[in-house]
Amino acid sequence: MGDRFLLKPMLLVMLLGLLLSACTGPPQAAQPAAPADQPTATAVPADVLAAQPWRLTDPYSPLPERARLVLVKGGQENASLMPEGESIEDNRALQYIEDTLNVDITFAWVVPSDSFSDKLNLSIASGDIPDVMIVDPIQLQQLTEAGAIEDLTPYIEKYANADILENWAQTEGVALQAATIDGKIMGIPNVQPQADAPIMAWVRQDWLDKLGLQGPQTVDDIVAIARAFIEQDPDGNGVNDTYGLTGTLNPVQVPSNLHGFDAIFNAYGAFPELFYRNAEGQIIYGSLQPETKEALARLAELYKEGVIDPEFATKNTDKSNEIVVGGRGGIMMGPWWVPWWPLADSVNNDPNADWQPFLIKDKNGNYTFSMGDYTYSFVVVKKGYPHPEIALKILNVQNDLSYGLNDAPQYYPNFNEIWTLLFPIPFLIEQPYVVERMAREYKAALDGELDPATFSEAMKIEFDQIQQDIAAPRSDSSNWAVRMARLDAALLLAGGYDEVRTDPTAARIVASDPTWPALKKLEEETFLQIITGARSVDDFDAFVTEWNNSGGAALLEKMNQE
Amino acid sequence: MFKDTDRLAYYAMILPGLVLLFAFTFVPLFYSVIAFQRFNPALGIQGSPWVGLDNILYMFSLRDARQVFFNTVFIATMKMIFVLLTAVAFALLLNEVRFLRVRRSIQTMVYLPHFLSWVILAGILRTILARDGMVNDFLALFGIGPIYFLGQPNIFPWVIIFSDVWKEFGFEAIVYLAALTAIDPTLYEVAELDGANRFQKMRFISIPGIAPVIVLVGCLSIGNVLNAGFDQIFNLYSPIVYSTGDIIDTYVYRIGLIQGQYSLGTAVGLFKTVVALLLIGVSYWAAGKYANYRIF
Repeated sequence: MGDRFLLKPMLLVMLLGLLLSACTGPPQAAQPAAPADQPTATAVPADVLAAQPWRLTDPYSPLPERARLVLVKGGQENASLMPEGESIEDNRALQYIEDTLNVDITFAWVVPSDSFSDKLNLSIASGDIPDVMIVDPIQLQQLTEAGAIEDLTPYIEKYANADILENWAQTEGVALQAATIDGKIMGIPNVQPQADAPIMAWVRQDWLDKLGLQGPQTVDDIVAIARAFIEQDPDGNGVNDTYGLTGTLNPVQVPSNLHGFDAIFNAYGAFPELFYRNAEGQIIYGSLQPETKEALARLAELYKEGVIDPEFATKNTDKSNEIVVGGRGGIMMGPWWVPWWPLADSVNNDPNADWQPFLIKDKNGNYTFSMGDYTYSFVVVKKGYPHPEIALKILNVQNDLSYGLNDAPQYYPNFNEIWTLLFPIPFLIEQPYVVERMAREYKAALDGELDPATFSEAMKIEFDQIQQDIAAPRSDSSNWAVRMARLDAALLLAGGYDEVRTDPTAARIVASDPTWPALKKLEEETFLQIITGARSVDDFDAFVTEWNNSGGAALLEKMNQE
Repeated sequence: MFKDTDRLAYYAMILPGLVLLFAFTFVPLFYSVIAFQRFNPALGIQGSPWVGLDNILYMFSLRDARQVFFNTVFIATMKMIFVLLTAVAFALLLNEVRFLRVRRSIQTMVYLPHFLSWVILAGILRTILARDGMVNDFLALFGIGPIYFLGQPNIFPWVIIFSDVWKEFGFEAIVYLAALTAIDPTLYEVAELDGANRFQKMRFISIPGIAPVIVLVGCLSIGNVLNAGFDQIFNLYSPIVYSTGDIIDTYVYRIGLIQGQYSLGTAVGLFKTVVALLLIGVSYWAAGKYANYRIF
């Protein structure tokens, strides 16, 4: 209904845009004059503006007139985590963004996370798209072909703040390149912190101590610990009810695979689900390599022996989280951030649960991990929205709120648990190695080599939490989670490791390849069947042949030709 | 027979059903054209480029498509056969129970699951079929198991089939119970005079008496051979049982809605629609021939 009123201004802007781009050369000329020098009716008082000059720079300048911005949102199922009196539609972080940028943010709909993408696809299909939204590479391509989104080329350099531009630069240009279609930047690319990919083993030190065991360094160590946890009643309740290694129906998933076997594959020198260049410079697919077969053989053996949860193949993340949260499992494979979720709940239930992170070495004694793509999602602006730059400005302010930069207030002690609910565009453009950098700084401050007063507001709060947990370990699960994730786990990563990642060209080809879903299904099914013994390990060779014949060989050929 | 005003009232009563049928069954048929396009949701049906039979041909080249088609037919057929047999056997047995109150309460209990949704039942099934669940505990008494009911490709379809039988047989049995009450009681009296026992009465009176209904229900269900039950399977399956548990409907859902391949998903769905249309023709013909059932 509201569309009818927007139609005229939309058409006008589109026409103007066409005219301007038709008769001017450099893209900068197509921009509307920035309102930087004349602060008009905004929610921010003049004295604040004077005291905080950054507010008048391009990346933060308030809109000249209060404008409406319609968004959509998932995550409704977690709304109960919000502080008293706040909601997804109305909270202090959102308010701060609205006031800073002079914009009214409303949500066309808010739904649970698992129905978000269905609902968004429906909105796109019915032509009723929100003003700004987060899309995947396929949707970016489709929306661009349809001319449904704004070309953001003229805005990126001007309105992204220095931090975000620097973060993109640190991906060696991969991020912006991924968002570029026919020479135009059609979306704002995310940058995933690279720390999310390496899967480490989180093991309960209290159980290890009780059984007189050492923390794991290799796959064999993990297996020995898992056996001991199953057989020797580490929780001391006299009942044979503890699990060894947990798993889920996704044995491999890069990055951030909770309860995943990724680290075990990596330890065998296998990098399943990645298209990477081998020593000869050819792009190969990790899932087909002999090392993957070796790792699968080991996993099948462990499954048969009962070291791996016998029902892992039908469990989702929540089901397997229940095992570790309920005190029935002492090993959890996961990324550096699992202390926030789900391990904080384990500590809540049992303050003795002393989870510690360990990295797993490969056969040669090195650390090598499968890495995720730098970029896999994009923020796009609906064609005709009068202020396309607002998307960049919101992301600037969100980044400041996350890290306490540019005087951004720090409202929430449990920010890391609820940021996706607070932010109107839950989207991260991180420094690729921010996690490691912060860990080094915290460590230096603890060692007295760095003055914590120089930290940003957000880091000051976290540093305080870390110190509180060191003084009284596990007395508060939020403090504990910050210490374990930000300091202990991140420091392990900061120690350095080798990376294997999917080639950016290959990633783009896979995203739009029609045979890919069938290939992926074949692989998922085969791997699970081999691990659970429904198929023999030697069927792996038949799988490779079938994968190649079902369009996989052609896919690899296409990648190697580009 | 009816007055015209009565007739109007009856038509008014079926109107909401017709509207829903039209909106959710006939309107979507027109959108099947995207099976012949490289559909881009942002461009819509009018704007998306046409690709002829590419999607259909690609579908037939997929190993998945054949497997999924087989799974669908297998699961649906087995469900039909077992639900029918169980329902008939149950109706015959219940018919022999002489205490009306016992009969009523048993009947109510067995058709209760029919009214529960698969979302709830799947949760219950997952719990009782788990490794440390009721069923495995029971089997352990006999030294069997534990069996991984939901994670073994060769067992999974049977879990689907028998859980569906358990859910639906009580409700199906109502039809046969009704048919049994329609049998002329004097036939039983005569048989008793001739010295027939209970089994002989069942064999020579009850079963022949409801045979036309069995044939009719059997013929009409041919049209459902491609409906293996999306709700049920979607809530119980996982990648490990794709090889035997993935059916056309779950496949279309994953390919079309999750992976965004709308055209391929629609092509598979359209194929199902075409085959189902043929099957319904067969079922109508068979119902007319063997059970003398005609609509027109």
